[in-house]
Amino acid sequence: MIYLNNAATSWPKPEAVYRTADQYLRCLTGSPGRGTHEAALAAGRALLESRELLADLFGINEPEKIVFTSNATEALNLAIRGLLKPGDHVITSSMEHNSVARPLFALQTQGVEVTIIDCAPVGTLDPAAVERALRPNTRLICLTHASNVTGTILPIEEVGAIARRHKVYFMVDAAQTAGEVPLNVEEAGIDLLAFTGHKGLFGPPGTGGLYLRHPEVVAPLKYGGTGSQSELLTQPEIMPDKFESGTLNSPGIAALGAGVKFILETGLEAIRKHTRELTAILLERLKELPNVTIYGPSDVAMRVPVISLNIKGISPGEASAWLAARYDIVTRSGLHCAPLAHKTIGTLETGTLRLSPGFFNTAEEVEQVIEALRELVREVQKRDS
Amino acid sequence: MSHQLTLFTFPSTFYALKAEKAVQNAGLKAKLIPMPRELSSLCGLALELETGEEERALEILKAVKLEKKVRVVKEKGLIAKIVEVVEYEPG
Repeated sequence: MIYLNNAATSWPKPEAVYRTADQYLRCLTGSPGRGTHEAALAAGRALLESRELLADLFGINEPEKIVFTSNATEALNLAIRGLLKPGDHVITSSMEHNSVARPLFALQTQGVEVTIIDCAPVGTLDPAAVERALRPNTRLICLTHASNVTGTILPIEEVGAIARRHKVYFMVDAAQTAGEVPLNVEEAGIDLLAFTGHKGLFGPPGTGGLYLRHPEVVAPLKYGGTGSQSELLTQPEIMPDKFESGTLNSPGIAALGAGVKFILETGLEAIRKHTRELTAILLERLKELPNVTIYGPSDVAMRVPVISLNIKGISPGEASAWLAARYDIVTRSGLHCAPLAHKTIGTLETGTLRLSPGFFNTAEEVEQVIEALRELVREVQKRDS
Repeated sequence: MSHQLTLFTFPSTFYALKAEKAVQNAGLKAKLIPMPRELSSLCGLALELETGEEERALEILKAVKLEKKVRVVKEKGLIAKIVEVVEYEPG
């Protein structure tokens, strides 16, 4: 199998991720924060370590301001629903995933004002358009760091500077960039950072988190047991307990920590260099194929390793199925949960075929994919002639 | 045999675990124990160490949010007497 669907979930994971999940489930029988026997303490220590490793990766000075969630979607919902009130205004982009677009749309019906900044057809955003959209009641600017459809990297540093200048909260959705592109909450002026564990960070599904620079202005999504201040019927304000009610997915979070450790040891630069090379090969060689439309920026430096394309004469779904059946190549077709982005690039009707290589893919594999696509294009031409 | 010990308590489990890691990394002998409920209920844990090492520990724990410092006398492993309770400012 050639797996080119890392933008959906990364595979394979580093060996240490599998080992950690197994070891945790086998040996650490405790529930973190619930009990003081050695296993419960070891379980708590594993969470602490994962929190500290993530803080290290994102340049966060206070690891307790990272709370674990089940995925980026939950983190985004927590931030959006916990921060915005009727009468507030929020600015977002037309490249957002439904994990941002849908909660915002739901709040719009409750009196939150939403402005969607149109991006260019390659997915790029003009920061000046964000500044022009500011209103006196703007409370939040919410931006994806990179599109899951076109791979376009959005200018978070510039937009972060605008948010700071106008004293507006700034949230970044790092689902496609955490573990892939350097990301520093201080340099980009990020107040809320939502990430998932199972993509670039190499963790298992069911893990993710949110960094909150100002936890005091966000209301929890969930209320319940935290293992602390149990005599109070009010939710504790102390971090991270405020947002971590209920038993966490601690084996998953421990394994996520192993994934982050792998990234820190391998070096983000080395990871990015390799996936950029693979993306460059794909972009370069795909351009040679007739009847293939490639979306997103042509400059590989402006992308994460996500390439959307369409082949004249065949739907993305049929193309994806053909690649899987004939060559065991795993891709994804359709709208990728981002209708606004498809509207922006003009593919709302068709969707796209998405190729997303990862750190464990090789140049030989992407060459094989190109050859398979070359054959597919030829076959479609024959069918249609 | 009686024995004087210092217990530090914390606003949440996160800080208790962070404190344990910090003092152990500095070479101090300290361990997390279940917190006697009459002393604190903020989080279920207390960091226990020899009172003689209290000052060094406090220096290391500057970066950690502390709730209380409690000096106790233990006899045969049980708390016989609470000698002193110091409460720290929240935040």
